[in-house]
Amino acid sequence: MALLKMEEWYDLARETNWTPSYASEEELYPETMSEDFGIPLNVWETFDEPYKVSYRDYVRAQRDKDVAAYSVKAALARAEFFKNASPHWKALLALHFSAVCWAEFHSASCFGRMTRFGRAPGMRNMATFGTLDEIRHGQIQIYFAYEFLKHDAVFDWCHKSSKTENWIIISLRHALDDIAHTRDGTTAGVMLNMGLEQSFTNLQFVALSADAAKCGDHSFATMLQSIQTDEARHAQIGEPLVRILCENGRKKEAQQMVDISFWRMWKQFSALSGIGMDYYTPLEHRENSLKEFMEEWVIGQFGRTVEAMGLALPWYWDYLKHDIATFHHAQQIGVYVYRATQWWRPIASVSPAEREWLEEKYPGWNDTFGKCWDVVTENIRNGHYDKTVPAPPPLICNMCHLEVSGVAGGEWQPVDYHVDLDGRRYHFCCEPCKWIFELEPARYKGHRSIIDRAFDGTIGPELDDFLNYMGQSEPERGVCGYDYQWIDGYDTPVAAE
Amino acid sequence: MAEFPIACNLQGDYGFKVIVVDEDDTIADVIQKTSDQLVGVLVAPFPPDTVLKARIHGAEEPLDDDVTLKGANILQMAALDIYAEG
Amino acid sequence: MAVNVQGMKTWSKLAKNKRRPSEYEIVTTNLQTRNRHRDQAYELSPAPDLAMNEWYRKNVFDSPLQHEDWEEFRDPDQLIYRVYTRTQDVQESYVDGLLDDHNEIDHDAGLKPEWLDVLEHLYTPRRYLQTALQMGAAYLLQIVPASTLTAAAGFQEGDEFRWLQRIAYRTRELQTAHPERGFAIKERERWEKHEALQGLRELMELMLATYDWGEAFTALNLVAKPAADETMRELGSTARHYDDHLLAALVDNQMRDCDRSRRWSTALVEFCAGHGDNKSVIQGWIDKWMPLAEKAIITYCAALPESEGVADTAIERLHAYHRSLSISA
Repeated sequence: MALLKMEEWYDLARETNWTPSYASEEELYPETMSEDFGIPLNVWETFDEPYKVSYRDYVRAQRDKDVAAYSVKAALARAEFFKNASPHWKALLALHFSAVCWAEFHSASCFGRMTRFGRAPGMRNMATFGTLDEIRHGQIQIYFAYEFLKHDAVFDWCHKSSKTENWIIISLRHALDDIAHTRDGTTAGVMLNMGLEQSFTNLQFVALSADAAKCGDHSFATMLQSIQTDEARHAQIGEPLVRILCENGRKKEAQQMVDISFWRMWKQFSALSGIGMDYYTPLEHRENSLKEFMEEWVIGQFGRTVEAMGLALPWYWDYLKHDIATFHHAQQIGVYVYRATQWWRPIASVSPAEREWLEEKYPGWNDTFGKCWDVVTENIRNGHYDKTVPAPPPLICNMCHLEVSGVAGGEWQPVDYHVDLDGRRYHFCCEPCKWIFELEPARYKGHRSIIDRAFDGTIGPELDDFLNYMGQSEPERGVCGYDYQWIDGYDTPVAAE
Repeated sequence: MAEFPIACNLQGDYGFKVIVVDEDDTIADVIQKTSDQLVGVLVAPFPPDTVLKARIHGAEEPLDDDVTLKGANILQMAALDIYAEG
Repeated sequence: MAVNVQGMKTWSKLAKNKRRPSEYEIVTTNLQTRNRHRDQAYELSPAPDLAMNEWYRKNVFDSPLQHEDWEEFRDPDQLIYRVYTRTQDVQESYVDGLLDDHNEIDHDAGLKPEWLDVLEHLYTPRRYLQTALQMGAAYLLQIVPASTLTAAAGFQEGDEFRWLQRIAYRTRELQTAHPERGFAIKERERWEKHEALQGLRELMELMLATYDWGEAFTALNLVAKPAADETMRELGSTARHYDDHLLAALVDNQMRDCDRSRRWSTALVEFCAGHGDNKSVIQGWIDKWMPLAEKAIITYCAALPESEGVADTAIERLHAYHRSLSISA
């Protein structure tokens, strides 16, 4: 073989900046799209990606990854698995796929922003792989979801959710659009890679694949793992960017980018992964709790990464340690009791055995969030299903667009923060969400939450109006995934009165 | 008649709920509206001699039961905690 | 115990299609969120409060190029990621084979000085041109108003990056064989200063500074990229006369990727040409950009040895491409 080794020519493909003369710098790098932070080009050119791969090796490796995932044998195994899957697992799959498919595909455009408007040639090239990866992630997950569609129409939301005004989709769009799609190419690179990919995708993909493997859904597990290896490669864009910023007098800016994006994505993952791991994963297949996973992988590992880069831990780190034990528990109550506002079939997942597990992992759970569930359970026992749905809607945070929640029951703690601006009151679930708003009010102030719209005339007054506005026709409104047959355990139907 | 929404967190509930009120409602009316909609739904019934009070979220002192929302200058999307006294 | 659950044959959005949807349609359509609200492409403050929403309002929603539903666009190749990687893996294996074979026979050592001059000035500096094409495709994919368009532009960007790296590879080989020359050293200088490349550089820079999505698509995919590709084709054709069969073969292979771009671009024009003023809008943009493109072709081709008629051939091919589009009378 007389081929060159990659190291012999790789650097030439990163020597691609030139001095323009037919269009100005400003015309080529407009402010809305691009920001060099006053750092000279020759410094951006020191961007060095830790993992180097050539296009040639990329297409070979990626082709191999997809062979296993798309095999007929794997498809048959998946179909068989799904037919026998519990409502737990079905709820988890529906929630995961409806959220990630379009979100991943959408990320391709963020990498496009980096390639076109970033200043570092190495970053341009790595972001090209990022774009291709995200197209892959969107397509492979939608392919998996499509196979479930013939068994369960809920999976239609994997294709159409991004077009709706459903409150959960608004929440996810707001967060991703904020960090990945409306920033200059460099900031988007730091925010997406540090705030989402390096910090959290492990949570959803590694943890979920472990749970999936235990559940017997092996090809789902394998697919998720292969996505995570892609993530590890293109997420590496973030660290060299942060280093360049820190070493050139822009540490404060880099810190703020990480602080904003991490918090925005924490809120999303606390709902998606928190509900997924602590409630939707069948009890016998659960590995770590959300709190345990966050402590090890995020507060631990990611925290160390942040410090190793020369940044400080985000200012809210202590508050995060409290939030990981509370926020998602409150959200889960809301997702169940307001189940008609979900397009999938939510499950309560607080049967006696599950409550024991929750108490073990979150000491005090029964005395706090458990107290709300006590009332719900009692209503079900008495056949008062309509009383399990609160009449008034919940207050929604104007930043994360999830419920403004605190601690329930015996340790009741109402939590709410607000900002008054131009005659309008904005509510926030926590200080960090409020802090983000106050950093750049113009970015957020014109947006209206689903609750704002419910009361400003955008949406009609009836529940039907609300659900139709959110894109949910009658059959698309969530019902209890177990038809209430869970209060005394899944093998114990509720006795008739 | 001027209806508008405010946010109320009843003691024991996990978060705030948006309650439609009228500017002429008294604080006692608001407490009643809130507990009617949430007691027995997300919050267990209170012991019979419980006195519920309302305060502006973050404030120390309760609001006077007989004051109207207009009189107390409680505006659209204000947040109130409703808690058991004592 | 579980609730009664119904299935569906296909995505509701595709249910009206008569034919069963292809895998491409299943996994590529309907995934764009930023094309729903004119003032609020992104789920934050609307335009003008948020600069990015203002950008998309101006450059996408208010573009002269209009259609009521861009998400109905389909790539005629129906290209999906797993087929893209499989296809390009095969092509890269072929290219590896070419490079390996030619290295074995000391191909570069045997190249004539006159031809090495051409390679130094007109071939290896093209990694900068490839970069511009890579960046141009990257802009397209983030601005286009449909997920099917994002996918097509994304694969195009991958292709440009592919050839950027292949040119870098060849640059190093040529430097090793001819260390006394300017390979791997003078490319930037040539890209910035060499007369023959200035037409192309001007074309690329002005294309990159074009932000209306319709005009950016036209400027890149209908004019600048085909023009650049035609100059590459002529370089490859000339290479045969100088026994550089390696470059000729590499260029032939590159043209496969270029043809892919033309196919989806042709399809996009066909898709929207019948709506509103699109036909005249696109033609107007082509007319605006062609003088620069012709100048780029002329100045480049003039520097090729035995260049008589070469520029004309290249320009005529570009015209023929435009005649094949649905906008021509």
